[in-house]
Amino acid sequence: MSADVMQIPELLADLAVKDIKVWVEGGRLRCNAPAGALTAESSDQLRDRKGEIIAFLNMATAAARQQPAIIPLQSRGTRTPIYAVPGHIGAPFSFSDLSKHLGGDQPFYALQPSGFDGQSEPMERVEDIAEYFARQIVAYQPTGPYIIAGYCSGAATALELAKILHQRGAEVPCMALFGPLHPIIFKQLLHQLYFFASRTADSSLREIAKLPTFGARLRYFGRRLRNLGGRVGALVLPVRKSKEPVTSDPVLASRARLKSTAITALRRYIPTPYSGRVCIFLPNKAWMRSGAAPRQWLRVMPQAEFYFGPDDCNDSHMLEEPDASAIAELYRKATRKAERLT
Amino acid sequence: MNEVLPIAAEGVARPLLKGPDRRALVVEYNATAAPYPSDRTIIDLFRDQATRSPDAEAIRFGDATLTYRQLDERSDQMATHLSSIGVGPGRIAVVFMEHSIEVVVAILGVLKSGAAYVPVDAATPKGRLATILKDIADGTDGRAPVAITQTRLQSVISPNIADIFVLDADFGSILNQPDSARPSAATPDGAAYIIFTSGSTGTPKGVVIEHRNLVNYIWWAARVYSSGERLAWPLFSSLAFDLTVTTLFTPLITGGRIVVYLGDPGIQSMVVLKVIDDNAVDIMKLTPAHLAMVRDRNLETTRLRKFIVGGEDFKTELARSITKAIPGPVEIYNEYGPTEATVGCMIHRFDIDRDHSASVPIGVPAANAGIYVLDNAHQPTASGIIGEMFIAGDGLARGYFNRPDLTDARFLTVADPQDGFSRLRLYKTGDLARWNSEGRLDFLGRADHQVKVGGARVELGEIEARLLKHPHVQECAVAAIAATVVTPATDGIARLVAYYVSSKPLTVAELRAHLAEQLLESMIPTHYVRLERMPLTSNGKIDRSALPEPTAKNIQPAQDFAAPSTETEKRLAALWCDLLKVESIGRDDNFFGLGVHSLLVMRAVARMRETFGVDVQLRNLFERPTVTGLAEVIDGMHWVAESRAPLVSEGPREEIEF
Repeated sequence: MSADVMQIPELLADLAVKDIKVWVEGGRLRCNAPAGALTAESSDQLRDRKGEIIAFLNMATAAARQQPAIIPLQSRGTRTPIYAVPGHIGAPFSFSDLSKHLGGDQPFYALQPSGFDGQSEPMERVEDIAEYFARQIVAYQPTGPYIIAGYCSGAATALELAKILHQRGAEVPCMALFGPLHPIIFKQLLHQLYFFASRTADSSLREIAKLPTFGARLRYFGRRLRNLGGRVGALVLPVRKSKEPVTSDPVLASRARLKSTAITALRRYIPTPYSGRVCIFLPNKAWMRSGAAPRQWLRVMPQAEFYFGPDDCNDSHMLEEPDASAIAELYRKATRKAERLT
Repeated sequence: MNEVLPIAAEGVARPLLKGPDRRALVVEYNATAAPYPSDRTIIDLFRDQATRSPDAEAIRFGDATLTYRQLDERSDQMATHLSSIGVGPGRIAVVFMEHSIEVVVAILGVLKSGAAYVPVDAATPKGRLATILKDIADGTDGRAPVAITQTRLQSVISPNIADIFVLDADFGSILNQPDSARPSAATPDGAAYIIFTSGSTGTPKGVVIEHRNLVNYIWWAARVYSSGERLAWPLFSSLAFDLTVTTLFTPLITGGRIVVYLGDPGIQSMVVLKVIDDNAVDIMKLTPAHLAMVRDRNLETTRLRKFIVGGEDFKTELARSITKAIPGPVEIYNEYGPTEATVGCMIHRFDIDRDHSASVPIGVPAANAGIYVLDNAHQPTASGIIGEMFIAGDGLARGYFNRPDLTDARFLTVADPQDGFSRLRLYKTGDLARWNSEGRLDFLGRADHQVKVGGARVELGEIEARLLKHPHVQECAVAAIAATVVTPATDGIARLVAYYVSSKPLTVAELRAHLAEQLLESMIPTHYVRLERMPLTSNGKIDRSALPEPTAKNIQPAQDFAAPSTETEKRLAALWCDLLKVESIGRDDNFFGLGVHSLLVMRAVARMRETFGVDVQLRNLFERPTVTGLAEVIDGMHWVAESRAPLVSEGPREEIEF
């Protein structure tokens, strides 16, 4: 469009100044104006650019009613759409790489929790977060089927969300949990410490395994031991840090507040049974003893299927490059399996 | 508590190569066993040739020449002299000389003495030379190595770290030695040469090549490149670059001739043009960057008939233009191989009718070489999956000089990928590759060129490989630059910058579209800089450290740049420019292509709300990630808010439908 043609917003603003209202009704463009205010030139504009104006007004109306929780990482495709709950920091971006690797035929929506945008309030109960997501999803896509996914500590919300949608008659063919953290680890300080310590140890063991000689491994140990005080401090930090935001950056502050509220919600939450299909994707087999308590999920979903990523998968970043492709392949495998079963 | 998993765990790793593909790509592909004189040294082979053609010209520099007999005698005298000063088996002699007949005499003399030679380029800075000499001393019980040099270069070597032998000044002492044949002290498992290459830590590392490695390579090279002909080869490239090993020894075991060329100070890389203009050689080994310089010369009357290209990615378009520029048949070979696998271990002969992909393939393994693409567990990867290249075979170096840790890290003994149980020594190249659907190996550059941009780990080699597949891109390098363009670095956001040389001007949109066909958005460079030519190292490879900083002047503006036009677009563009620290943003530029990360996106959302007073959400950014798209949403939100306002004017109204 060339610059000398008036843009639609400018054209509408011009009309608004003259108290001329335009709106769309059943695919038709209607106009209400003070008698005589609508000049022949304005009428011509409205008639000639009717299509553009209707598209703009429809877009504007949709934007005003939009569901802020629905982040379309990939909105096209014919496969059953995935709605994914991020971890307790609430970052919808955590699914970006996975979504790309699932390809152009897989609609993928990340769910943005209330409080992430820095203006709404974070919710203090897992059930409330799930209810909020359920309403947003149904408003965006009124009928199923939906695949509900959860990452890290978002697994608990995903479980509640799947249950709500299922109870309301929607088809949820599968719940996909990626590296899920069972809420029990947020309830018991010792469990939480074990989880972070085990994750740190696993990462060290992987580093050591990469070193070529015994001498190099010994030196690595030496360095780690020298820095023991700092390491213990760093270990306790994630546990303590969940409580207070310590930053003046408004974005970081709202994230810290969201994280802290989410952890409170997880501490209160007690999972209840779910009978639908559940696929649990773990970064690797070592994750079973990581302190993330994956076996605990079997208490409420004994039918859960477990899938494991490659041994060298970086568990804290399992959905990012370069592991995202292997996890996407696991997801496809699980989906194909379901297709074969049906 | 249920302690036992009810469902059998399904372990899935990245896809591996199985069945017939495994047989074809792992076993048959590597069926390269070929006989060679493994019980002999390169000196034995040279002497055989000197016996066969004693009076043939072996080497020429200007008007000076030596026959095979003379070269053999002169190098015998050199060896006798070196032996008299303690140089022999197990010792190391540094050869720090300019290109000359004498440098070849010195190298042969060192080899005949049973010692290994270390070629050091005459342009090597004093500090680096001292590091190499010290490293050699450290690895030989503190004994200072012998350094053979010339008067002009003598001052570069500190006398306390080497026993200096000034060849041109002390030539008399050599000529006084008896010229009768002396037995060579070299053995097949003795070290022949040590080439120092750049280490990632900045300390050069020496690769130790034994006579058996060298004989395996040169025997194969002689068969493939000389194929029974006595060819003239130009000695013009740096002796410290192992590409030159081919030029040094292949003629000497096939009855060919070495023609020596000396570069002019300061414009060393132009020596390649001297070779072309002199028109005295039949075959030439060089890098693609040097070949690109040759292309611009008039080649209609050249006697060159064969080119061996190595060291970097070789564009088909370049091979094609050289083929067309030379009347009559011409052979062009692409040779791949790290120094650690003795010069070359893969080869492809360019075929103008059949090679249509953007880069000339690196081809198939050379004699007695094995090439494997393996994952982290050293298992062969399936087609389409990126793995690391590993090399096996008789070309594998002894290891790194005095660096057992590094040798253990790079030369591994693992289960043989062919049978899964016998043990095989492999060199871990650090190069990435993958099998394509046609069963050919795609070379994807260095594995250690991995950077993190916008939170995503990115292989620069993969981007470069894709960029080079553009038919008009001749050379390229991609770098991650932490500084921002134009304004000083304040946000520390790393952005990818693509530098390229192309045969015709290309728009940013064309380049981005070409890259986007195969790469993730996070891997598409933010800025594009078109260069006249790539900066080169003395080895003729791209000098990454000399790539220019991206500035407002040299980065290529998007050709389809459309300036923001409405008031909202202008305010929005200004807001994003401020956040991204860039000078301008076009109305159709995608924010996600400009190096945004999650924190910055949320800051942008907050700023947009504050600036425009409407409820912009993150989802709007994903749905409409351009200035024009977002501005429209913002205008739409404004319109909805205003349309809810009560009617202003009183009096009669009319309603019309369009």
